[in-house]
Amino acid sequence: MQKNDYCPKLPPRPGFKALLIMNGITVFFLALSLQLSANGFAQKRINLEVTNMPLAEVFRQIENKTIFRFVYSTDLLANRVVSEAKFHRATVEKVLDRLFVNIPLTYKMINDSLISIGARQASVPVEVEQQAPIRGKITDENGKPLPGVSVTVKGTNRGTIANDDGSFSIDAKPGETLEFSIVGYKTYSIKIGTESTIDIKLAPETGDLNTVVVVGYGTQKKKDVTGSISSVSSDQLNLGGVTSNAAQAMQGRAAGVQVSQTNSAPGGETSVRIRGGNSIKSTNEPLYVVDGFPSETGKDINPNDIADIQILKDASATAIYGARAANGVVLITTKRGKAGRPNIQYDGYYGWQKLNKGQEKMNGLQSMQTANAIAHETGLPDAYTSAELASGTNTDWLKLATRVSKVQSHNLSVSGGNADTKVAISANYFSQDGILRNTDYERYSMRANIDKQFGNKFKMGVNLYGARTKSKYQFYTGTIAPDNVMAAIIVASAAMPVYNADGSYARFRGRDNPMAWLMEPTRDRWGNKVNINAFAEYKIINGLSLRVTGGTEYTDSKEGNYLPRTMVNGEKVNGIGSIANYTTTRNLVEAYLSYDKSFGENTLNVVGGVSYQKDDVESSGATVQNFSTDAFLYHNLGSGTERLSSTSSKVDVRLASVYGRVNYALKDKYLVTATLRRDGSSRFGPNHAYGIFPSGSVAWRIIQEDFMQNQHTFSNLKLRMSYGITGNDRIGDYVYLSTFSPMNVTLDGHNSYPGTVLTKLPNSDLKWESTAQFDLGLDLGFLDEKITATLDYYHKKTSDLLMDIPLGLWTGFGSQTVNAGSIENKGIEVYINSENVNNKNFQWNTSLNFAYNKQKVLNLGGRPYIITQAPNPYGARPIDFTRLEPGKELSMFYGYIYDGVFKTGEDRSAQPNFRAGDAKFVDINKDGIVNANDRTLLGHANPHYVYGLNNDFKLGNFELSIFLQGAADYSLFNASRLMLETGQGIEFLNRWTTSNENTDIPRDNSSLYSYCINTRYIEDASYLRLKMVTLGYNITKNVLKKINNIKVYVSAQNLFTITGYSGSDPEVNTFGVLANLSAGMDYTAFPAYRTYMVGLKVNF
Amino acid sequence: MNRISKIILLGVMIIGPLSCKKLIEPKVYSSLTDVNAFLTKSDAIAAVNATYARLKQPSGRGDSWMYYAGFQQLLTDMTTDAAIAMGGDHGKLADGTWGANNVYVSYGWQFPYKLVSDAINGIYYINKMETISEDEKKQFLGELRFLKSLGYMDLTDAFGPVILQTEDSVANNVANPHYEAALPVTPVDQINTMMISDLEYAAANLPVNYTNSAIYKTNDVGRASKGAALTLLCKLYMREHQWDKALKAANDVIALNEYSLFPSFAGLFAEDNKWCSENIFSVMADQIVDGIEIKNHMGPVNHPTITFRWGMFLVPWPFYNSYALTDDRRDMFYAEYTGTDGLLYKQPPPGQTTPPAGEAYLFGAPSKKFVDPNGPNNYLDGHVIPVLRYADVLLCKAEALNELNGPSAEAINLINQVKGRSHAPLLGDPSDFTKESLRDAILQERGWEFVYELKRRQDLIRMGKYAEKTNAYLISRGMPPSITMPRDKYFSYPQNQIDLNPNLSNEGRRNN
Repeated sequence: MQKNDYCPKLPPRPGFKALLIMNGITVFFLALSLQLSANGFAQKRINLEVTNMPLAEVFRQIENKTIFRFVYSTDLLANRVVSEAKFHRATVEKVLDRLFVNIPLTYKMINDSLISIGARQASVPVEVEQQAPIRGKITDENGKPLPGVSVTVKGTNRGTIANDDGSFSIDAKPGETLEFSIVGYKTYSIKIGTESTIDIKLAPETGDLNTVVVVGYGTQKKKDVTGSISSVSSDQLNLGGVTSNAAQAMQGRAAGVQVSQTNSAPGGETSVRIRGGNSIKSTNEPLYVVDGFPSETGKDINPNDIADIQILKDASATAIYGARAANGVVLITTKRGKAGRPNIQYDGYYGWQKLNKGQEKMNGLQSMQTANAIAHETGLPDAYTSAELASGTNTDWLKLATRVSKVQSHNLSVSGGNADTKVAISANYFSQDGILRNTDYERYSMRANIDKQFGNKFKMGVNLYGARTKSKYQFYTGTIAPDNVMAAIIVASAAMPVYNADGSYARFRGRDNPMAWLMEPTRDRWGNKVNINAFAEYKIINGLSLRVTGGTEYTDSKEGNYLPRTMVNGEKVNGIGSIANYTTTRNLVEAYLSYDKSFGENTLNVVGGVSYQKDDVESSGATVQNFSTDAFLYHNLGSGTERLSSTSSKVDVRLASVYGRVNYALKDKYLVTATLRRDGSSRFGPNHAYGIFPSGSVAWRIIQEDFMQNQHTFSNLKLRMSYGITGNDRIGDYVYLSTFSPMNVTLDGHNSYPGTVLTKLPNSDLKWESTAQFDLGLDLGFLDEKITATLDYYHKKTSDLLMDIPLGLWTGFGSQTVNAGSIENKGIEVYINSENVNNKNFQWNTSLNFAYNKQKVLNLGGRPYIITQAPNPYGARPIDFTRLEPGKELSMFYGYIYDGVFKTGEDRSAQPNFRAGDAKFVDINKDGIVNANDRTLLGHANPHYVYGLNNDFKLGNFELSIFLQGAADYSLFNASRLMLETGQGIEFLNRWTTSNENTDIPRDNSSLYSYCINTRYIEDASYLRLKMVTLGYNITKNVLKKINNIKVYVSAQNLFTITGYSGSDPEVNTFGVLANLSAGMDYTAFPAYRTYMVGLKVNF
Repeated sequence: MNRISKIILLGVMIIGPLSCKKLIEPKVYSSLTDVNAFLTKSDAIAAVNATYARLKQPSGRGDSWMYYAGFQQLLTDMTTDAAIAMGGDHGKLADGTWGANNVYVSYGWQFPYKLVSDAINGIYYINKMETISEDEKKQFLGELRFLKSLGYMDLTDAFGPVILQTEDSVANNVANPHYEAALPVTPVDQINTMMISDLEYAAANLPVNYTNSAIYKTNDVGRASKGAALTLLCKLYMREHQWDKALKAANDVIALNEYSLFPSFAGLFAEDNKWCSENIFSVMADQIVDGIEIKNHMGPVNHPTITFRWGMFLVPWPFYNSYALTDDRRDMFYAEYTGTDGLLYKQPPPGQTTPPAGEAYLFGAPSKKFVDPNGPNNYLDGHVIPVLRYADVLLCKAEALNELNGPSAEAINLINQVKGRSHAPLLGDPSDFTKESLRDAILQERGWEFVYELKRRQDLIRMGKYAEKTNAYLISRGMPPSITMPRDKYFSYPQNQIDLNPNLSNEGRRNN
């Protein structure tokens, strides 16, 4: 409803004063803040002389001369030019006051180093009597006050800037639209009704070009980045539930970054592949850098501490990390304190986990009857007596072994500070019980990040992190050893009893049952991690600063095991206990100079520095048996009388580096980056002690071109191109050296005599694996950045692959490690973010990432192929599992084509030792005989496509987030199904017998032995998974004083998976992250589960 | 000096030292390098000791049944009439159907070379040492040259001409690495010449025993001695049918007055009998500090006291049945026992293949030789493997005498010493025998005496009976008589080695 027409009355009044008069409250706070910050603000006096200079450049010059940083929306400064101004020993305040006399802008100190620039409400006549002041408070996504926000009335020049506590007051009348904007947050508009107070919550900007991203040794504005970087901010991370590390937190969130949980045990292993795998023998895991500190265990930090993750993908972005960058670099930045009111946050949840899928096994009676039937078929007496058949024994091993388990996390963080000192401290407790009994994971962690500014030139900071983890673990290694409980559960018959009458675990035919193996042995693991690092930054002259960082990271893990005498193997030796200890200490010191300079339309940034890193990796362990009691477990190894082994080792790793980078921009349109790093490593042979890793990239911000100024489709258009060479130094320690190691022996039949033997042939030429990468990228923004997209094409070629080249055994050695062979990865990545709806009551945001990668081995150093083997599920010698050959990709299954079973009387001349009912395989080479030559490649284990799709909805106080994630075009070898189908699975009832000819399940025998890698068990594992769905409700009304915001939420993980794969989880990789050549085995995996949880987030 | 130059100077000061190679040279803590591996006498001893470890310890494999601790018997015994196994590559050896891809054939190549490699590395480095005395050097080199010969004895037994690697090859590779070179094979007679020289050196420089060694402070019965070198020399001459030299070497051993037959055959093989008067050279083991897995492979299945053994390597029933009932050695088998499953494990009666209820048939007799019924029941065992023992010397001397002069009382007396110890029926008068029939009797006696002691194939070939005896046995099992001489005098070179070195050729050998 409109009361009166707008009617100008008063003449315009000059700038600043008018604002002050009209906004009394603002005046008060502004004055207060000016007073508070009087030191830093007034103290620094500068000389400045400008002629026809864009205002943005003037700000840049002030930034170079002082500690101040300006925040503004680029639009505000568009076409603003300062014609002439000259200052001598003027305060910044004075400079700004002067400059803004003729420019309708105003400024506001957000803190001692940040100045927000906003539109000035002025110069337009205002009909005072018709405008009630609208008051309100602006908060960020966490409900924390947001100062410095520019508030304007749309279509007018009226405006103001929010105060320190986020409050604002502005005159506006009903029907007018208020617009709230500040750098780093999405601009928000609201049409005024009759209300007099409006509380506004701003959402962080994700696609903003001015967003600053962390790059190696520095930061850059997103718009100036020429390389390929995926950013994941804290609000995009998968937090909650079973997410216990940074890798899980970013799964599905970044294009071209494939995260898979190879083992879903509590604290289980995650594998991260950025743009496919480059290496055959070394690791394909990326380098993690946490707050500038390269850490092998970087992904294990408390994910709640993470402010954002930058994933550096192309050579331009990664080359500054040289010999460690070939697998990509994950830069993790943790949360730091901000000046202003202290922010106290509690974030916690409690959840339940439930088994996804059971195993369909024969019941006890079926199992016994089947065993008897088989005995008859082979002419043996009954395996089970009629009394046993009547016993009703029916054990569901998986059900006994699993439970509904709980997971919980409690995170308390405090941050705040003043202009000089900022602190962020957090503490976290995470605990997850495995759905498999006797497994769990627990972590206590604490972090403190402290920043201190001393005057204008010098600042220091320290980052402290400490964590302790504890878990009970089991083995899921894919072997048939009985201590691999999941294998034991698969093959265990339901006819086996669990307990004896006295409650002890029943043995079956002299062996322990699976529950005994699960519950009786003690398997504990602890980890400690402490990272202490500090930095000092000194501004030497304008634009030139020196940053020195240094620190130590100490990690250790300890395993304690005990096998008691309640177990057969423990009974034989009166208990066997062991302890193993691994520690790594990394010391790092780095120093780099950073220089920024603008001249005319040129902007230059140069970084150059040095780094020295030294690791000590130590391990020790002991195994002892023959105890008088089980009571000690592994806590008193001295009480065991027979020492089986005691070991220790220490490895020294060193890395000395020099690096530099130049960023140059012309007219904010043409961007060039060049990077060079020289790494010397203790791992490289003397002939290649140092490696040089260069990269170069160019980008063209087409959107800045004149011809783009009159279009409205694109809000951003940038073309990027890069090329560079990076290395993988994780080639093992001392590999190039000829080493002599202990080989002890008894020479009297009783005592051990020390011996030393040559254990490795030298290779002075040994060096890093080298990856050359080309990247072509396009950054797009549409509809005023409502839709943003990033497209990248890349081509990587890795050469000098580390390989073990076979040597004639007459040398005494079977192989020697050399650099040979090469492999290529090509792919496409797409990231799209779309703000579908954005108004006060309803917001809907969609983001999609998608990546395609194709790998091809070019050369295996002259070897025609490499076969990997897997443990034979039937227990004999290992079987050939995958085959790698030039032209193909890593982890391709190698085996037979299954062709059903032989019917009675069918011609079996191609498989002469087989009988009716045995498995039949295709004679591929048609030579009339089925043998090892009839094996072929049966599919690949690495997905060609990975994708993630997230939808966030906000309706009033409700928030809903639906996150889908998946992979496509790959297969798994379902060895669990093989074992069930030929053993205790329900399908085995349908096996071939003379009375059941019409089946494709073979008769009972091991006819699949050594033929078991075949098409019947290679299954397409493509999947789409509802990884996480979260429904939250925000209680914004102040329930209690001092509480800013309460959010309650319910969440579910792995609610459903759409897949044709018949196993329990298509993400499984039994052989873990190092299985470069033998991925794709699904056997004895930790059972997959769903998680449901309720959470609470409170901001004080 | 202005600020910029200060900065540049600072930069140079920082970057300068970082370019220094010393910064990135690692300190090697837990292994030795060629800089510090051979400094003192103790280092030399360690290099010698480790070479003995190669006689049984795993070389890159997780199993503890390498070389003399188990699989070498697959080549030397399983391929004859005196051993049987079923399934897998060991079954193929027992069935006479092995080929160039048989894993144990490739082990038979790999592990003796590993022994040779460690021995010649030790010889190369110890030769250069200046911190040890001449006597010490002779002792160490004597031991290593014996071990090197033992490796070449096995290699040439199995493969005939092989690639020759010596201490000179080590020197060449240290100076100019060329490990991947495809080297030619060396004829057996040239290798024999080298072995004779090495063994004569060892015999000349090694002590008779280590009870009062000036160099070693302990009685290291596992070390090579003068007697060991002479015995191996005797075996080499025997192989080459140089009977007079073999006889001389055997007499030299006997003249040492160091050895005699141990009174009890069972006691000789007790797990706790690590060394006795009959042992000339044995591979030592201890169940805790240096255990092996021979008991796992040979021990009976489901046995009530020798629990959790696999019963893989057995002796064929006809061979077992050939022992005289009075022969103590007949009792060295688990021929019949009630298993943990309540079944009676036994030899199948003739013509019978399906056991009646309550019984299970063993397809061969499990030996007690390396499965001491009174030994500890650990997973790993501590049985000592006799490589050279005095009974062998006596029987070699008898054989050499017979080959030189025909049957004689002296020869028969030697054989009867061995028989008598085990209460086996003795041989009668020399006039009952021709040279051929006494040779057959010696062969039979050696079979009974040395079950699974790495001798059978060598004996059969030396006496020209390999095809005859083994084919007869294969036929008795209903298998094709697949042994053909001279093709099967040597095994095929392992296929993976031929792939790497075209100088190795299986022409005239099994090539499947």
